[in-house]
This record gives sequence, structure tokens and C-alpha cells, in this order.
Amino acid sequence: MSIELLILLVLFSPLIGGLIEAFVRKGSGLIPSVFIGLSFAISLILLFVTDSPEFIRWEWLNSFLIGIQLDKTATILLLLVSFISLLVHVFSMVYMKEDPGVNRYFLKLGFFTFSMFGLILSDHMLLLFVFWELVGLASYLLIGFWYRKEGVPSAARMAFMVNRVADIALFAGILLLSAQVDSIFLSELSGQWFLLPSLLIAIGAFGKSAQFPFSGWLTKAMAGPTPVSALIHAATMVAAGVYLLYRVSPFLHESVMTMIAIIGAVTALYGGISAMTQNDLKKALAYSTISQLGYMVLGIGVGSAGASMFHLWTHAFFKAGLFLAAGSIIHYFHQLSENGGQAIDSQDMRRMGGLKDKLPVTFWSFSICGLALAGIPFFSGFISKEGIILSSLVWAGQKGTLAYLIPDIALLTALLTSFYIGRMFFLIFLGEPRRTIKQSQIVYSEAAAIRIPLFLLAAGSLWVFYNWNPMAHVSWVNTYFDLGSVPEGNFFSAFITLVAIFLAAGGIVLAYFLFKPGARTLRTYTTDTRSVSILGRNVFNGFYLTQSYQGLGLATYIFSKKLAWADKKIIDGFIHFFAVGTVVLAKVVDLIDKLIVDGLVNLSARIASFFGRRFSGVHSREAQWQLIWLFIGFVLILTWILFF
Amino acid sequence: MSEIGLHMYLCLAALLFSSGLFVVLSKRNAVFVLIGIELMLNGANLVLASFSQIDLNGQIFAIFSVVLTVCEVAIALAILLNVYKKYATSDLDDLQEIGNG
Repeated sequence: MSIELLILLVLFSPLIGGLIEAFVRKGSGLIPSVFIGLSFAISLILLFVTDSPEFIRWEWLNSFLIGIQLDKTATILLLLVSFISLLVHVFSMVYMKEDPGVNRYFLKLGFFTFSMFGLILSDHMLLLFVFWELVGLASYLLIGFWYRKEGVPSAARMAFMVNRVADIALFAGILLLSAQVDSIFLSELSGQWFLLPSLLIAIGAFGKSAQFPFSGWLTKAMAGPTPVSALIHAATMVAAGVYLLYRVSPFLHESVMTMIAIIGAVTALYGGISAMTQNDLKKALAYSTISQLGYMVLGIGVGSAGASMFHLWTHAFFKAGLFLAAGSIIHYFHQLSENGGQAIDSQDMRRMGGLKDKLPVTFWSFSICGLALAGIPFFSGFISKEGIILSSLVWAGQKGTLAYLIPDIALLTALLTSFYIGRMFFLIFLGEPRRTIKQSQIVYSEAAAIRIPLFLLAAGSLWVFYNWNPMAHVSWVNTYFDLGSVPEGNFFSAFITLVAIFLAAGGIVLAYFLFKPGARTLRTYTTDTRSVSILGRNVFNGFYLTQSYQGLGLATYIFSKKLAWADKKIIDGFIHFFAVGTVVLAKVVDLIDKLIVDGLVNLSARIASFFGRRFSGVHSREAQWQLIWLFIGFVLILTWILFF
Repeated sequence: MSEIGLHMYLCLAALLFSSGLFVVLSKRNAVFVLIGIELMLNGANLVLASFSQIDLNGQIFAIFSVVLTVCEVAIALAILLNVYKKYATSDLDDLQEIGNG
């Protein structure tokens, strides 16, 4: 089989699987899983058989080529996406089993995976933009999957609209870029781009990857089913922005690169701070994703895109693991409330606790993935995060004193990260079960379709798969991302590594003291329902970012209403006035025409007629009138003779 | 008794002439028009007679004129009588036909 056929097979099989599931044979998700498994298998084959980039190009419009490519980066990302998507499919077979819309669900999931494959394979900027939009559409459909639930449609709409705003910037950037450079094939990009296209494309990527001004939609996206969140956060949606930045980073304008680094640092800090106070299990993970995406964008901004893509890879594993573990917990609580327990807010961490014995596989995989997220040595997250922090340090060394803020923020965020994940861990799994769990004494064990994905993802978060040396900061995965290298380590970097380890461990220890079973803060925390201070409320609500979007939207709405009013009153009024003025003027002209022009003509006619009438009397038939005229004529002649 | 000035006679003559002219122009009846013509002639005769204060030739001319007027009136009245007989009207406005009908 030729490679082209294999590529098309990888691309379309998730879509075909979803279509079969939805329309032909309504099973429980087995067929889509088989098809996505096929994609995964072919991706694995492609990883080994692809030496040089493969191109497929075709004529879209007359003498306008678009095409897809399969290079090293694309193969490894295909592998990642298909693997995560496969696990999510398998997990969903159990998680969504009782949902009436399960067929629709798998179709959307297949469509989502297909769009992401297309995005990775696209070689042309416009084709990439098409798949970029398809990914946005698919995420909208999946976030709004439970569209009858209160708040879900508006959450989906917000995710969609925030993405649209950024996508407009991306589209404008692509158009501007195509005016500057000869070819917008990704494999043929060149040169140093101007400021504006660079900036617009970066903003487009920020929107997809939930960077700071656009972060709000990602927490809203939690309204979707949890496996979908795993897919969005790990491999598909948010990875798209980082992927685009990786592709274009060598060509971006220098100041835009600095801006990317700053935005990444701000986002990392923002996500880390907000994640610390969340009660909702999924929201905490969402803010964690924002923070980690901030790391990746920061890495790209400081010029080591390869390290960022490696972090994307490891993050995909441990974040998908965390989300699927969250899904497992939520599933467990749903089972409880269906089997006689009372209805529970199944995502509130304050009501959990003591799940260690109930869900052992979830417990272990959450622990491993959490440690990977925290950046503890012997786990994957440590290796990739070290790469980014070291790169930012080297970059700051070249830039100057103020630039050291960036690695400082990265290190601070490392502390926050380990704190919030430690807090989640202690709240969920340790201690005595709080409230509702005591009341229900049912037997529950995790299904194989839940256990296996969790096991695989947890295993993928260990260090051995990336580098035998647990203290390294590069791995074999880095060789697939050849844009932007990771700097070599030295004595200084070893010191920083030690600091990072210390901070990560310190965060967990701090979390332990605050939230260990029986701690005083834990008791007050689980009984108190609201944050007290203004700062606390700000942090809890993610600095009101989503609310500010709504405010912005409302302001725009009010502004347009005012504009509409002005339009009606002032512009319409002016036009009306103008029209009336024209009519009045026309009437005046008409009057002038009638009175003066016609009047003159009529006057001359009347004068002529008057004289004509008078002189017509001369030839009157009445003899006496003739006599009168005769007499008048005589008098006139006489007068003439006498007086002149 | 003081002598009456020439201009008094002339004014009277003008009055007579004007009255005659007015009658000729304003009256519809042919008999009145004939009477108007007589008045105008008498006005003219009066002018001729009044100038006899200076020269007597005027008086002679006035007598000739009176004779002529008599002849003229006799003929005109005869014509009018025939017209009236033929058309049963003496109104000038109705007499608009020309010919020997």
C-alpha cells in the first residue's frame, strides 16, 4: 500500500467509524473504537516507515494548489492524538453507556478526531484554517452535548464565540501573510514575517490554546462530558494552538516572540493561582490545563519550540489520565445516586474524600499523573518542564535582567502546580469519606474499559518511556520536533533543576499540611461555602474573565443599540430632513417656474392678447364702434399735428 | 349790454358738436343717430356764424350749409323709412346686411 493511501485511511477512519455508529449499526461505541484503533495502528506503521516528508497536493482552484504533508512532526502527533482518542473512545463506552444520545456522541467524537488529524496533516495555511474551524465546531458540538441541561448551551456558545474572535485574527493574519510571502505551504515557509501577520497569527493560536485574554472558554468547556474534556485538554483542541505556534515560530517577528513568552508566563501564573481555590474537580483541572498551556507557549516564545512540543506530548498523557480519573470519580458518584443514594453534586471536591479504597485504580493513576503534573523526578512531566524552564533561563540570560521574570514566573508556577494538585489529591482520596458516601453501601468496581485507559495513561507518565535518565530534560520525542532546540545543561542548570524539585516537593508538602486528614484548614474549608475576601473571590472565579467577556458582549450590544438609535434618529432624521428639504425646494422651484417663467410667457401673451383685442375693435362689425375708433384716430392725428 | 366774447360761441358750438357725437356713438336707433348728425352740423354752423364778428363770409357759408342739411335730412329720412319698411327695425346693430336683397 502506498503511503498516500495510508494517510487518507488515518484521516478518514474516525469519521467513517462515527458515521457507521450513528447511522448504520447503533452499537455502544465498539465500531468507532475499532476504527480509531485502526488509525492508531496505521499511525504507528507510518512512524516507522516515514523517513522523508510525504506530500499530497492537488489543485483546489485553477492553478491554486493546496495539500497535506506527513513529516516527522505530523507522524508523532498523529500517533499521540490517535492514542489519546482511542483511550477516550474506550473510556466513553462505559461512561456514556446509559446516555440516550450515545450514537450522536460517538459521531461527534469521531468528527473531532478527524478534524484534528486534518489539522495536523494540513500543509497549506488555508487548509489548516479549514480544519482549525472544524475543530472549533466539533468542540462546540461536544461541549454542548447535553444541550438540555441548564447553562450548557451558553457555555458551548461562549467557547465557540471566544474562538471565533481569535479565528478572525488568524484568518486576517493568513491573508496578510499570503500578501507578504510567496507560498503559504507550511513546508515552504520562509523569511522574517512582518509584525502584523505575526501578531494576528499568534492571537489566533492564543484563542485556540486558551492563552490569557481568551482563557475563560476553557473552564466553561467543562460543561461537556468528561471524556471529551480529556480529549480537548490533552490532544486535540488546545494542542492546535501550540502546534500552529510551533510551525510558525521560526518566522515570527522578534517582538511577537517576546510577547508570546510574556503571555505564556502570565497565563501559566493565572491558571496556577485560579486552580488553587477551585471546589469543582473539573474546573480545577481546567485551570491546571490553562497553566500548563502557558508553559508551552512560554517555551515557544523563548525559542525552544521543541521543548514545548515535548511538554505537549507528556502533558497529553498525564492530563488525559487526570481527566479520565475525574471521569471515573464522577461516574462512580452517578452510579451511587442511581443506586439508591441521594442526588449528589458529583464534581464538588469538598464532598469527596476517602476514595482511595473505593477506586484503587483511579487512585493510583491519579497519583502518578498528578506527580507527573507536579514535576517530581521519575515522572514525565519533570523532564519536559525542565526543558522549558532551562530554555527560558538561557533566553533570559541573552535578553537581560528584566527577562529573568519569565523563568521566575515559571518556577513560581511550578510551586503552585504541585500545591493545587496535592490539594486535589488530599481532598479527593485521603481521609474519611465525607457526607453521602457513608450512606450508600453498594459494591462498585471500576470496569475494564475504565481501568485499561487509566493504566496506560499512568504508565505513559513514567520517565522510562522518554529517557532512562530521570534527571534529563530531553528525550527521543524531541528528535521529532526539529524546530527550536533545547539547550544543553550545565552547572547552573543543575542548580535550577534542584530548585525546581525543591519547589515541587514543597508545594506538595504545603498542601499536605493544609489538607491532610484532620487538618484544621480542611475542616473549615469543607464547611465554609464561599471565599471570604475580595481577592479570594477573584481567584475563585478566575478573575472574572468569562464575566468580562459577557460584559464586553453586553457593552457591545448596548453600544450597537445606541448606534442603532443614533442611526434612526440622527442619520435617518438627517435623510428625512434632506428629503423634506428637497421636496420643499422642488415646490419652490415649481412655484417659480409657474409664476415667473410661465408668468412671463403668459404676461407677454396677455399683453399681446390685450392689444390684439383692443385693435380688433377697429374692424368691428358694429358701425358705431368703427366710428368711435375713427374719432379716436382723428383726435390722435389732430393732437399730433397741433402739439408736436 | 356787454358784448358776448367769441370763445363763448365756440364753447357752445363744441358742446353741441360733442353732444351730437355722443348721440351718434351711443344711440342704437337710426333716427337718434340722424338727430345726432343734425346736432353736429348745427354745432359746425354755429362756428361759421359766430366768426361773422370778424368776417361776414362765414354767415353766407352757414346759410348754404343749412340748405344742404335740409336736403340731406329729407333723403336720409326717406332711406330710413324704406329700411324700416323692409327690415321692421331701425336699430343700427341689426342692420348688418349689405347688398340689394
